[in-house]
Amino acid sequence: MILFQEKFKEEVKEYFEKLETGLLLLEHDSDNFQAIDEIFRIMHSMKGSGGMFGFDLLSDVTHDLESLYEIFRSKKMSINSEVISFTLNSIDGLHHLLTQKPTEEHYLLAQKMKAETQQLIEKLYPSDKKREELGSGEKLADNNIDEGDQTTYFISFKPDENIFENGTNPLYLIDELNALGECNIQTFFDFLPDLSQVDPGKCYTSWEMFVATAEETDTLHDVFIFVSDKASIEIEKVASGNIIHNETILADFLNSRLSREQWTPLEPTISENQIVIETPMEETELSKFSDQPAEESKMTALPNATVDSIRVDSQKIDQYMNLVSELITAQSRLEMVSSKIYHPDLELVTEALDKIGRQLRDNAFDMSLIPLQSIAVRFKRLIHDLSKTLDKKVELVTEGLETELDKNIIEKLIEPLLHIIRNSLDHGIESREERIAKSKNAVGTITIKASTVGSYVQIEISDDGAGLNPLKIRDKAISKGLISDQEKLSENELFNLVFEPGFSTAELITDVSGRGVGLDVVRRKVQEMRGSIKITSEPDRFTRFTFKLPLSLSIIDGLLTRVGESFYVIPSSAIKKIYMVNQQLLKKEFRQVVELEGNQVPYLNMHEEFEHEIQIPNSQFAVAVSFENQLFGLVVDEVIREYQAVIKPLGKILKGQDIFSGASIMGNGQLALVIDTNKIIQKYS
Amino acid sequence: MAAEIIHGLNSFFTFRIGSELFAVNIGNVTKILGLTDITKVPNSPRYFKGIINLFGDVLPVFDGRLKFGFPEAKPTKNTCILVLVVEIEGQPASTGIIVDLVGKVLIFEPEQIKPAPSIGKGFNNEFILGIATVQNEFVIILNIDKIFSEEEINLINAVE
Repeated sequence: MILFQEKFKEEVKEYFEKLETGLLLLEHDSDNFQAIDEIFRIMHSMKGSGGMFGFDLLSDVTHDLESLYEIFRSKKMSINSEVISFTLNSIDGLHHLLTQKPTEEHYLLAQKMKAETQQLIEKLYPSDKKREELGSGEKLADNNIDEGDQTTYFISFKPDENIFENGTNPLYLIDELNALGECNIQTFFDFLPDLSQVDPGKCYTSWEMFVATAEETDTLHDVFIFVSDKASIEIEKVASGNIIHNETILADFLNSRLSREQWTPLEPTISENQIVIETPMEETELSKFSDQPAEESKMTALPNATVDSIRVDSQKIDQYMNLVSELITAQSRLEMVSSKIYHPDLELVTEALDKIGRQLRDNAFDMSLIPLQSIAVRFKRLIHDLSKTLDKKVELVTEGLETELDKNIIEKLIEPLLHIIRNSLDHGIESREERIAKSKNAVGTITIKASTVGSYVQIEISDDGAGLNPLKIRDKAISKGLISDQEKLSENELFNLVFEPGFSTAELITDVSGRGVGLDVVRRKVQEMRGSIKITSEPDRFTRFTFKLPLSLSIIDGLLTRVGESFYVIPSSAIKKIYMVNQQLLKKEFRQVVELEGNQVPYLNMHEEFEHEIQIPNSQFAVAVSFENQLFGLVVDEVIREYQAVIKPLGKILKGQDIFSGASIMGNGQLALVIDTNKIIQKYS
Repeated sequence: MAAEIIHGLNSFFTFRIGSELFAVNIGNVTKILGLTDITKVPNSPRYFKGIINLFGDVLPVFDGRLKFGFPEAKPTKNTCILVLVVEIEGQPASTGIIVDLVGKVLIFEPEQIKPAPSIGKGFNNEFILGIATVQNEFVIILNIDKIFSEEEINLINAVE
């Protein structure tokens, strides 16, 4: 059960995302009924399965939201931006309610949300209250309603034999129908195979039933809303009024079904004036009803048509990646053996295997990539919310969001990107009046552009706002003691000061930015992913942040080096130059520096540090790596070759070892430690 | 690789380190590997031998002799790496330990396991779950979660 609940939580998160997408769509196109329908359907699913898995508060609040959307779905009025903002806020609230062990706080929140929703419903559609009461009586099986208001329907429900697989118990649905009114249910076992062939995981039962209810056909359809693509459902009106005990009519109806005749719903013989009232309603119901089959088939067709991707547990992908790298390792061993034995046949097979292995690796690598698009909703949402709070009109322009990045990078990138967008909106884009005074377009623009450049992905976030003022930055940096007033810095260097800890240009710390997380944190996070961030700007024109990130965290280009008998990988991205050095060049007295091209560069002799041996080879190599414009020499015994390293984490036991970011498996199955140049420099310089 | 600890078994896997016979619950044992080349990790304590490639994952390997206070010895043809799953910070993690000789699987009922004597020097009692007897020889049943506990890991991290 816990497993299902976890799955449900995952599912709900997806629902939230879909809801947000739908709502943001509606913001621009309030008559998008497909989006409203989708929102309604998601809410219904959330309500139903929430209750089933014990997330009662979630289910409860969603029920009210669903009622709210019923107003728009039934086209009683069209949706407005107030409702959209309200719903977006409610989604945030629902996030909190996604708990099975609610506390007092949760109850209060749920109560508040419910009350607010009711208020909104009341405000939008006052007369709806009565209807709503009827709607919430859905489960209470209100059998006291005058029989004249009821209609008798015939429902044929043939679940797909795989219906149990998604956890649906058809009996609950039947129960739910039973609660709507008086029922006459027939169960059919037509599909039941011989006992020896019965698969207990499959459903062989189907049902036909008559229901006399005061609810409309929509409510009946709603009962089956989750299973609409997993079952064949027919709902047909038999007669107005409760005729469930009139077996002649029921038999007539079934006969007409068998002979595939069109059944004309029977009208009860009631007094004249009542018919006058009833007829128009009947018509609308009939027209609704004739629409129904078409809609039904659309609903069933939709999921089938869009299945062009499957969801796979990310752990499985990781496992797959591991297996592929195992294969690559085994392959290079085979190559070694093959070159020793030298047999033409073996050689052919080895080569073929090599080719397939490489394709498999690329394929596996490709699978762990996801497009930036997947987090675009978050950007849109942020801009939507903030432009309301700050009262600035902002348009978001995106380009190249189909660019793919490693899932792990995307996850870590969300916060930094949102932070930059928040900054752009708060500090970058000017107020409306200011923009008009500057004769700019009153609506600001934020542009997000992404593209792949070599083995990097570049993401640009720019705004057409006030831009950065280099003089102001300079003054500020001096007052904060980051630079001295004699220092001469280029414009670029000045801009980059904003990434220094303790620097914040905003005069006012607003609610939006300045939450204690500065740009320095953004830069640190990006650097942790072996990426970089740059800022360019022109006063009154634009501010642009450019992120450069590696395609993947797990594969890097590196330089394979040897120290003693161990191998180490130095990431190529940090390497500036490689020098051959001898012991005379490596000064140890007073300051540990090596002279490279006339510059004194601090160094770490890895042989000395890692091997604890006095005997150091006379001739070594200094790999000059850079960290924030600072050079540092890593002295190794031998530089072997360039090397594509699949980085494996060192695991929990070695978590505290921070100078190595992981290990890579070499062709012979041995491990080489991958050096984290930033950490090693911070530690030894 | 998702290794898992299997709880509630009363079978124990025995192995020798130095002069002693040790045992761990079979639920913690996942593999026995022959001794391979171990990549050392610079600046780690002596009893931490380094890391090896275990089917594409990195496996940290400890030297059982040094870890339990026996003198260092040259590996023999019986020297093995015992791969164990231990619980670290509430999560299962694989770790290897070099042992001199692997033994067999024995079943000890709870009443056969006696508490370790609390006096005497040498071995840290915290690491011992209990003592059992088999053919007139004592078997030290190890509390391996304790041996590779957080405190121990920090020790490795601290020595740099």
